[in-house]
Amino acid sequence: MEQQRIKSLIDLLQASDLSELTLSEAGSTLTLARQADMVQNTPSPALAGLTVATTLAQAKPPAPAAALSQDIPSPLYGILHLTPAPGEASFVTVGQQVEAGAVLCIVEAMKMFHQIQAPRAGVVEALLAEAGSEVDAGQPVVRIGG
Amino acid sequence: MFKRVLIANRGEIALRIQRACHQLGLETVMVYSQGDAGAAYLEQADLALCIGPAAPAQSYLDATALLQAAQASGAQAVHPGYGFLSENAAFSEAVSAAGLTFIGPDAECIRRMGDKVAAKRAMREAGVPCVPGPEGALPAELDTVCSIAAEIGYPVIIKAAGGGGGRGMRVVHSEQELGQAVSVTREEARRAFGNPELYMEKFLGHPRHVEIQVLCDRHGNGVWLGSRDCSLQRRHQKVLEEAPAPGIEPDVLARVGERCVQACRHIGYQGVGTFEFLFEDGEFYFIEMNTRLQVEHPVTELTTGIDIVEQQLRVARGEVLELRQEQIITHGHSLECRINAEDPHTFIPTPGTVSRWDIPGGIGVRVDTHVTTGYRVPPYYDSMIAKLITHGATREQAMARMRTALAQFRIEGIASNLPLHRNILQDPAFIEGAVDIHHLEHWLKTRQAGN
Repeated sequence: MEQQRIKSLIDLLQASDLSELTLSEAGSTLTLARQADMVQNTPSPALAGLTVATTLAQAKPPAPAAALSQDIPSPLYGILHLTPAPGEASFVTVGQQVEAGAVLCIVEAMKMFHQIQAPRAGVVEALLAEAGSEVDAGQPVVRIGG
Repeated sequence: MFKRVLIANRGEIALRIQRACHQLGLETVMVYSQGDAGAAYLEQADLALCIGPAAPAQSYLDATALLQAAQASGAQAVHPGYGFLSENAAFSEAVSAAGLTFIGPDAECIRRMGDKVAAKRAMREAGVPCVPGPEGALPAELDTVCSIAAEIGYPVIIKAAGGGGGRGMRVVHSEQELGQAVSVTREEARRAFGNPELYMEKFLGHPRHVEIQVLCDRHGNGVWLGSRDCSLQRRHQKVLEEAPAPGIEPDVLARVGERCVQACRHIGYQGVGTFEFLFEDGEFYFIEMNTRLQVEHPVTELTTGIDIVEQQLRVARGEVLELRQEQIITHGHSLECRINAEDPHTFIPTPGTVSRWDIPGGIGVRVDTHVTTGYRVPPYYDSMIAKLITHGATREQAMARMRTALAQFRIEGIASNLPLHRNILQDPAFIEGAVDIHHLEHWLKTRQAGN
């Protein structure tokens, strides 16, 4: 993408009430995001409230659905574990970037441990059930976004 | 003599023990976790006490909580059932130290039989046949390990002295693999069991799992109650058991049975117990002793007519064993299917609410279960929800009764392994009898390939 084109997109976002703008074209993806706090505190100069969040990704454009949040359900009724063993660090924390196939949590049922893996790369947006609690089959346990 | 028994277990075996206690006029104290609160089997107890949260470590495995419950309720004896603390020497010791009767062997016996190297030594001393291999733990020097393996002959199996349940073992087919196999297994054993000691045995290629039930009092009397065949296993878990083990000559069986009773006298064993063997080409090889009541005890009860749990309680009360070996005669044949809350194809556990529960009945059919319609199978414990047991004058009749019973058993709301058992009962190799311990896994692989 040309610099001029990016500049015009920044102006477009600035003039709108959008908080984020993502554009994919010809194998490149550009995401522009407005930082909420900066918008409130420092409304000017013009570019201060804007950050180029993602740089141009020439090789691998993310799938269009990638920006949407996805709730990962437990495949079975069991006990949710967010750590590999008591006292150890969590598999993932909110805000963490994960790759597809990364272990998000474990559901224990009848002495068997079932790993729940990320179906795609993304950012952990929320842990939807408490560690040690019972989760039903189909109940969402982790939300992946970004 | 105790009059009030605390049952330190849950589910079907807690109910089984409760029945035996009541039949002997003993009072029962049943303990339960929050995960089992409200279960119907607790209603029949003289007293039911909640001992902690659902997680086993904080309830059924919490020795302190159990002892406090026993003392608070005035129980004078503790029955550990199977699993949980039933083979925990420290628990047996703690129960005795509190002035209560542990319904099982003393800590010394449990400790000795729990250590595979020590157990094998004790069995050799008592003349019980063992798998070829050196008596002691493996030395650290690889050269010596190599010559031991060469002497036994490949394939050999490396096992952790503190292992069990199929964990901490590795089969080695040649000298090239030996060094690595030993170091990996040693490291696993150190981490998993806190004991890096290993031992080596001849690896048997197509053995059956045959076991001998024993019953001993405190006065040096003991009997063996026939054989069971538990060769149908998946991942070292028994799926279907039968008594007697088909096709083994009675005199061969009697010889090994007598040796088991001798071994019990040798180690001062009291209570019920099971000697597990591999059986290949007409020879028995001791693998381990279970120092407790076993899941599959009903097939022995139906073939001998002896109530094993009643006898266990009697000898724990100090009674002299009235049974004589010559009075123990096995009649007909018995099968037991372990009914589990699990998917019959993927084996993924299926805890949840049972919306329909119609159990079969009729002559020669017994169902040991704590489940009732509306019961919610908790996700915290073992997946076994019932034992379906049949008896017949012949193995054919026991199988026919099992097929009918399996067809009439209705479980809805959760998936179960009933379809798996229905298929096993149609398997020509199983029908013929005497399959080896690998048969079920091979059969499952073939089934998977066929789909």
